[in-house]
Amino acid sequence: MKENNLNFFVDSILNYFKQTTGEEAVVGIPYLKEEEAVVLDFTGIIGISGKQKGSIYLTASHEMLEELGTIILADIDYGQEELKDLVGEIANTIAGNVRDVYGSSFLISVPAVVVGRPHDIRFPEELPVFVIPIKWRKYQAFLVVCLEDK
Amino acid sequence: MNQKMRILIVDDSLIIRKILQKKLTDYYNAEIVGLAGNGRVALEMFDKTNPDYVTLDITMPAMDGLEVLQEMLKRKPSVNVIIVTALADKDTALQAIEMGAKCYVAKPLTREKLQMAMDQFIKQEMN
Repeated sequence: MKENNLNFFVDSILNYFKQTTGEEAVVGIPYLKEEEAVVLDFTGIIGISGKQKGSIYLTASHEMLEELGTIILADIDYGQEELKDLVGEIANTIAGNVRDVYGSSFLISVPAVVVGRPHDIRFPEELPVFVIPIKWRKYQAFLVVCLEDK
Repeated sequence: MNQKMRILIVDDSLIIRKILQKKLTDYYNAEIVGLAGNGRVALEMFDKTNPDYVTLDITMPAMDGLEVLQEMLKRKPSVNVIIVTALADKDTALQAIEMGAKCYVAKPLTREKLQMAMDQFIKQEMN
C-alpha cells in the first residue's frame, strides 16, 4: 500500500470519533511498524480481500473503551462483552467507511476480537505495516494497516 | 401514530443491537419483536415474528445482509427494511435500494442519522 493512501484511513478515524463523540481525535504521524508489538487491551481485527488484500486492526486500552462506552452506550448497561464488541465495531466502521474511496471491491470481514495483550499480531513479512497513532481525550489507540501495494 | 412499529433488529454487533433497541423503543414507540446476530437467525425470527420493519446490517457471519434482504422481500414484499451498515460506498447503497431497501444508513450510527431514517416512516404512517 502506498503511504499516501493512509490518508483515507486517517479521515475515517477522525470521522468516527467526531460523529460518535462530538469531539475531535488527534491522529499522529503514521510510521512503519518494526519489531515492537503494537497491541493494547482490546484489539479488533478486520480481514481485507477483493481487489486489495491484507488486514487492519484497531487496538485500544480498557480505559479508553470504557470512556467511549459512556458516550456511545449512554443509558445502556455495559460490561466486558460490550467493550469487546465495541472495539470490533470501531474497526469494522473505520474499514467499511474507507470503501467510500476504495469502492465496493474492498471487501471487509466480520471483526475478530483479541482480549488481552498477546506478544504481537503478525502480518506477512513481505508487506509494509503502517501504524497510525490516535489520541482521544487522554487516551491512545492505534490503527495498524497492512495492505498489498496497489 | 397509535400502533407500535414492530421492528426486527439484525446486526452482528451486540452494541448496535442494544443501541437500536434502546433508541427505537424510547423515541419511536417501537415494539422490538426480535434481535438477531446473523442472517440465518434473522430469517427464522422474521418468519416467527412477522415484523413491519427490519434494521439490517450487511457484513455478518453466516449470511450476507443483501442475501437476507432479498429473502425477506420475497417472503413479505411490504416489509420496510432499513440498512444500517459500515459499508459507506455508493455502489452498495444503490444496490440495496434497487433491491428494495427503503433506507440506507452508513455507520457510525448517530441519533441524527437514525432520526432522518425513521422520520420518513413516521410521515408515511401518518398519511
